[in-house]
Formats: sequence, C-alpha cells, structure tokens
Amino acid sequence: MRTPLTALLVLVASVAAGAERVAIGPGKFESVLPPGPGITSMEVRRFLLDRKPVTNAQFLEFVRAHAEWRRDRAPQLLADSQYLAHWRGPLDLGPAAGSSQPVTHVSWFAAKAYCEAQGARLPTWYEWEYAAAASETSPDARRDPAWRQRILDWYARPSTAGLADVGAPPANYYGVFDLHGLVWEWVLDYNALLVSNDSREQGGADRAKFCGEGALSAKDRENYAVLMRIAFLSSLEANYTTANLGFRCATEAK
Amino acid sequence: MKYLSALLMLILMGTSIAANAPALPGDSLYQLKVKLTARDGSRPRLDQLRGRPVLISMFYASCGGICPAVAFNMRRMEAALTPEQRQNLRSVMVSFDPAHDDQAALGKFARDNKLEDPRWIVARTPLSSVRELAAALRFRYRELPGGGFSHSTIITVLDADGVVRARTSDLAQLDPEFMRVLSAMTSTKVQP
Repeated sequence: MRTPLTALLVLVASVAAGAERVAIGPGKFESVLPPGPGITSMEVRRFLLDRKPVTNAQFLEFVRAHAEWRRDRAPQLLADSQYLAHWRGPLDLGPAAGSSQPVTHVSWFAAKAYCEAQGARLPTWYEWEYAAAASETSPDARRDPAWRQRILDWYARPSTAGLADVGAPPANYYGVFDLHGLVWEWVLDYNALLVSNDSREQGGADRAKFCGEGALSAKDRENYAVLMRIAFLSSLEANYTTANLGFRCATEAK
Repeated sequence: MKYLSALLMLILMGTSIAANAPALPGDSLYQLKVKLTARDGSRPRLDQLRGRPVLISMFYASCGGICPAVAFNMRRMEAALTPEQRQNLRSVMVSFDPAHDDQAALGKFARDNKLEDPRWIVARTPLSSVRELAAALRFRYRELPGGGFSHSTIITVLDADGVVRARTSDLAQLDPEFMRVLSAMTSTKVQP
C-alpha cells in the first residue's frame, strides 16, 4: 500500500520531469461493475494516465495534422453533426472554445483516433474507475462520505456555466486532475459496460442490462456518481458528441 | 504477353471503376476500413462488398448457444428470400475474439453452422478494428472472467452503399419489419 508521502514524491518527480501522464496501479479494487458473478475484487494492471483531459488547443493541433478529422470532413458514421460544433470554424477555436478548456463535442471514434495519433489509447473503464476512486489523500476514498458528497454536488450543479480550464487543483492522490467535476469522459470500452443479456433475453429488444449475474452489491448502490457515469456512457453510441463529454488518453506502463 | 496486357486491362478497369464510383455516404459502414481475414486465409476488405446488400453480425467461435442461434437466424432469413434475392446478398460474421479465433476456429464455426456457401464470409479482424466495427454496428460485448463473453445478438442489413437500413436482435422469430427491408434491399438486381 502506498502512503500519501510516496504518492507526493511520485507527483513531485513527475511534475519535475514535465510528465503529462502518471503511472497508476497495479492494484486490486472493487468495481461498482463486478466483472462477473460472485467476483467482487479485480486487478488493474499498471498503466499511465493523462493528468488532464485533452484541451481544445491540443485537439486543434491534432485536427490540423489529420485533416480527415476536420468537422467539415469527418463522416457522419464517425462523428455526428454536433462534432466540434462549439468551434468557430473547422480550424478555428473562436471565443466559445477556450484553448485550455477540455475539448468536448467529440465522438468516441475521434477520441480514439486522437489517442492513437499520440501513440496512446483511451483508458478502459476499470482504469478510469480505479484512478477516479482516489481523493487528494487516499487511493480509494469511495467510502468517505464527505468526498462522495463533494462529487455529487458537481452533478447537481447546473451545466449552463462555461467549463473551467483543465488542471484546476487539487490533483488527486496520483496527481491526476478533473476526473470528477469537469466533464464526462469517453473510455475505450464504453460499449462493454452494460450488455444485453444474450442468454436470457432471446426475443427481447436490445435493451441494456447489467451483464450476466453482475448485479450491483448493496454498498455499491450508494456510489451514485460512478453509477451515473456508467449509465451515461452506456447510453452513448460511438459517433455521439455532447457539450460536456470529453476524454483523456492512457498507455500501457513500460 | 497477352496475359500481361489482359491483366493490365483489368487493373485499369478496376481503377476507372473505383474512380467513377460515387462518393461513399457519410453514414456508410464502409467509412471504416475493416481488413478481414476470412476462414480460407483470403484478406477481403469489408468495403469490397459495396454494390450488394449485406447481412452482418458478430460472434466468437467458442460461443456455446447464442452465436450459433444468430447464425441460424441469418440462414433462416436467407431461406425466406427467393433464389434471385439470395444471389444478390452477401452474409458476414466477424469474430470479436481475435485472440482465440484463428483460421481453424473460424473454419470450424462455419462448418458447424453450415456457413460454407461462397456467399458467406466468416472472418476475423484485429482488436482495434473489432472495437470500431462493433461500435459502428452498435454491437455490445463484454469479456467475462474465466472466458466467454456477454454480448448483443444484433443482425444488421446494409444497403449496397453500406448504410445501415435495419437492425434486429429478435432470435425467436423472423422480425417482420427487418424482413421487409431485407426483401426490398435484395430485390434490386446487382451488377455482376
């Protein structure tokens, strides 16, 4: 178990090195979405996660280098009609898209392409959930009522106010910013979270259901913030974009 | 020499056909460049099916009950068409388990489920491509600990340009609305 002090040292070291990504894990944890019947604990392998969500400026740089991802060129299959709709032009952020604000109005396909262009990938759900379980001082603060309340307060806030810039302190235990309180984030396996139960739902519509017997245990039901994420991500299709859905990248740890 | 010029001719014709093809619709599945490896080792690209209606779904070869049921339902759909309609159609099942589904596994799945007609493609594609194809088809799948997957049973019909025209997850019967679309799609004579 790492102490807050070692975490601080790791953070200091990575900031000193100018690292944009920090190492997280390996570790065992209990996901609100158990991987299978009767399995409560799971392993997350060591991985590197972006400390901040991708910004408008960073995404603009990507679009400049990969013109097929301009909003006037990306096909509907890969990005819906609201893709980068808050930018003034295909290569122009304009006043509604601050350069340090998290990029939003991006589809899963676009986010995946961005990360791959950086030699990275989107984080998996379990990686995201593992990193997001941390408060500033604890790697797993999910049983901390005060911390939980703070996160819930964000969800209760009206979303009409403009988005803050990325990287507003405090960073969490690992030195990662904005996992809560700024935007929703795409994950690589957004479409693996809730799966229609194929073995019991023959003849039914393609309704999303919690997979297999992976029903939520009672204590997890209180983790509304994370459950909301799962419900939200599960409602998406890969070309959807929304005004408060962004992303960050991850890589395998070397 | 004769062969060479004939070959050259073919290549030129191929190029001019490609150049003259109307632009792909923005919502065509063929916007994705999905490189398949079929059970016979051939390497078709999914967008080479452009020009014909296509039935498509996803599976994994070690799947006990439900993937054979999806395959069976696709064959039932074909069987409900006229021979002429059937000739126009291509049917595709792509594995979402490329780590395990090698050519032998694909071949066995095709044999066991009677998918060996040349109109069928039973294939695999690399993991990154699996994710994209599944996302575009709205196909959801989740690996279970200890092997196996929980997954959707969606069968999709694409028109000649690769645009999704209907989806069904109904395995209990032939979804009437889906069959109406499939029948209409396959009624247009396909250019050979």
